[in-house]
Amino acid sequence: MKKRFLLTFLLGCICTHLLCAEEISIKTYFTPSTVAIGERGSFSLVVSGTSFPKSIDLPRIHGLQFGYVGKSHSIQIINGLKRTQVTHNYWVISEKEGTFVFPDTPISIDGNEYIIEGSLLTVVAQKENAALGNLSPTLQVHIGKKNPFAGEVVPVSVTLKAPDGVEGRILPPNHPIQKGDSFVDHGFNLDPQSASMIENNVHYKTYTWETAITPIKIGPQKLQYEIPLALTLTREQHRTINSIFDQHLNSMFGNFVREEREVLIKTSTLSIDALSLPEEGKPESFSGAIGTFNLEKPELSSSKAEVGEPITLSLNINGQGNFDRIGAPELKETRQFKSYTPKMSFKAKDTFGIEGSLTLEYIIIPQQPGVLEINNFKFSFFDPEQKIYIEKAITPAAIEITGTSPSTTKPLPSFTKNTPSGTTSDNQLLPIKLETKKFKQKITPIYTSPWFYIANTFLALICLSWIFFRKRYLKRTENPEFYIKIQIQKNTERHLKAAHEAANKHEVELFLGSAQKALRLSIMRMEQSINHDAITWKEMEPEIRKKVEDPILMHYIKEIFESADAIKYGKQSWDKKSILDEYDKLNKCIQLLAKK
Amino acid sequence: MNFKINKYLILLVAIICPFLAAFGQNPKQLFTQGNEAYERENYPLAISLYRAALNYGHCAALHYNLGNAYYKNDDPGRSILHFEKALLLTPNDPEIQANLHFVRSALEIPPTSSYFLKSLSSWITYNQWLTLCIFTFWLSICLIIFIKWHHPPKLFPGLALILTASIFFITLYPLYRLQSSIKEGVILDKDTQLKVAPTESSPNIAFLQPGHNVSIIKSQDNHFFIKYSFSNKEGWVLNTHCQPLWDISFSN
Repeated sequence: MKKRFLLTFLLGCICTHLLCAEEISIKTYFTPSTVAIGERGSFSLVVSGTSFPKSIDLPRIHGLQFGYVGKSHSIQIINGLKRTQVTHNYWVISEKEGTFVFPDTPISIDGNEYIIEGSLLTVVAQKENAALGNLSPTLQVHIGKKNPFAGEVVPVSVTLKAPDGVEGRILPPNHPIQKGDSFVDHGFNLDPQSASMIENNVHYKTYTWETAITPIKIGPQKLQYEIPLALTLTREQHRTINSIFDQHLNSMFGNFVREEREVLIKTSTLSIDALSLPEEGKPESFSGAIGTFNLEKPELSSSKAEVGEPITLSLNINGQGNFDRIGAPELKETRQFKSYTPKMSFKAKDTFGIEGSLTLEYIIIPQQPGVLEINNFKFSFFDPEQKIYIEKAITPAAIEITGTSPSTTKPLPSFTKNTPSGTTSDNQLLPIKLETKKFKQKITPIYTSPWFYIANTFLALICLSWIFFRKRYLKRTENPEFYIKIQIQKNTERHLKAAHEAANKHEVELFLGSAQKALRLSIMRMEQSINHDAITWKEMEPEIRKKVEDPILMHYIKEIFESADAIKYGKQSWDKKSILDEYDKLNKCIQLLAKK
Repeated sequence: MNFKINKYLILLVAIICPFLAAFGQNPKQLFTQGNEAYERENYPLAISLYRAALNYGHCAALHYNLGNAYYKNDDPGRSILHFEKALLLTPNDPEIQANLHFVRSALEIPPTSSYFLKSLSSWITYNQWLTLCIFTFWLSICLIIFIKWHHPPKLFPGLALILTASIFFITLYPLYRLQSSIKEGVILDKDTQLKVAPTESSPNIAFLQPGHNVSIIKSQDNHFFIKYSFSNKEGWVLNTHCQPLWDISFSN
């Protein structure tokens, strides 16, 4: 009986242990537990146990937004018992101040009911941002005038005050941003003025941006600036599941992490009452200029001009005010002149264009001769300090106009039909022509055609050829020896060519005959009266001796002559093996004779 | 209402007719149809028909009639342009000269000086003067060659040489005068802006009036760089407001 009881007890213990192993716990927590409005925090849902829900639907909490980031797993084995932990991570952001409760929520896993343990999130306003600490950066705005006129340019400065030790950086656009649409910004410089200050024994660094604004709406308006910053924060790390290793690591390296957090720092809202310009005393020439302006004496490009000749009238307005909203003073046209919209150019003396000089260039075209005086040309502005309109007359010097009125102002003379053709008249247009002649393709000068150049080149060649042949003819007729010399030279070349052809064909008789003729012409070239073909060696020998001193050459010429005669008349053979070699010798011989 | 319909009908006819007329027609037919439209005082249609005929080629009578039609259509700048073009083709035509003078007078454009040598250049066209110049040049060269190398009896060839050389030198003057007209253009529109640079936003130097002759020096980006000799000013004008007389291209 005792044994049965012990057995039952042991089985009960084992089963209880197994049942404990199957226990599931679901916890939640916000990190950090306090955030500022608009600041992003994290929400973790930790499921510990051996089985897990397939999906968890978070309850909807009014004022909080959740977004799923992902999950992480961890496994612990203690005394052979395996425990698994799954952490579901979410981002959370709040749009309003207050304490938000993530309630205890029942959940069903594998048919068993479990409870998700709830948690709290405190959302505070930015100034009370606990995460940033009590010494968070602040933004302040200073306006030069609380009650400006609509359209007036008002200087504004925005200062960022950051306690020493706060690390961070200014995010793009790197300058404060105006909220709302009641004012027009004149831009910020990207390099603010930095300074240091001590307030309540706390050291601060300040960054100041200067700008200007123009109210564009009448009545009470709100002005607020904000600037995006990325602050580097050091915070204590939150851990819900502390393993032995985590505890050791925390004791070694501390339980702190550094993270960069984006925050939006805002100024307090300034109430500004934008006034409307008074209607009383507003001049007709007022075109929106508000400020204090000076008008320089207008300058003319010329004091004398002809009718229709453009003249430039330059007008210079300088001072302080809303130069970006000044309309050009109207120059009313008269019969005497026409004018066009002026060209405006502005040179600013400061960054925001409050102080500077505006130049207007009017183009005037005189229409009538005479003295042109421009009257009723005024510039007016509203002085916001004195709260009155000031009107100034623009009086350029008179211009002397010469010439006649332009033709375009006059109507064209009328057309009269049935005017006799071919007669000219001063007040009638002659009628149209009824017949056409040949159509030309283009109205171009003939020198653009290539035929013009071809024809001229051809004519030039004809003239040059004419000169060349005429001069040659004259030389031939005036100097017959020259002509004979050319003829002999030509004939010698002809015989030499025939000899070369014969040598190529191995025709010995023809070669020797041509060689003989070529040599005869070369030797006896000046003897006009002699029939060269009939000259014998004996007749030629004295002449050759005069010209040829070389006995080898002499012997060669003699051999040619005798061989030619022997073959021609004696039908003998020639024992030379290579006629081409003989031709080379002949050629050299004739060249030598030509030099003599 | 009826007036409006008629106006639109005329406009429609003016747009369509040139295309219809140009299709399958020769320039002489277009010219005749243009004359008919002119006689009916439908000047926009006459201009369209004449311009369609211009696609086939140039003729003095066609440019003359186009000049008349433009004048009647209250467009004196283009009227002067076409009268000038007509004069290039037949410079001694008294009717063209008379109408050009008439339109110039109506616009009060001062006439150019017309002494003997000036009027000499309008006897024949520029191309005819150039042909005569080239012909007399080569003839003189041939006579010189003939006299020098053929030794002819010297009286007749010598006289011929003097005559041809004289004609050659005489032709140089009208050619010199007319050479400047090759790059001439005419201002077409009222208050044409003479600009400092060939851009739309360029400031103006002056405003030119239609019908005035200018020397076109070069072209760039739809603009001509011109010299306005009347007031000795130079600048750029849009090529839609100025047209050259000759069909030649201008370098950049």
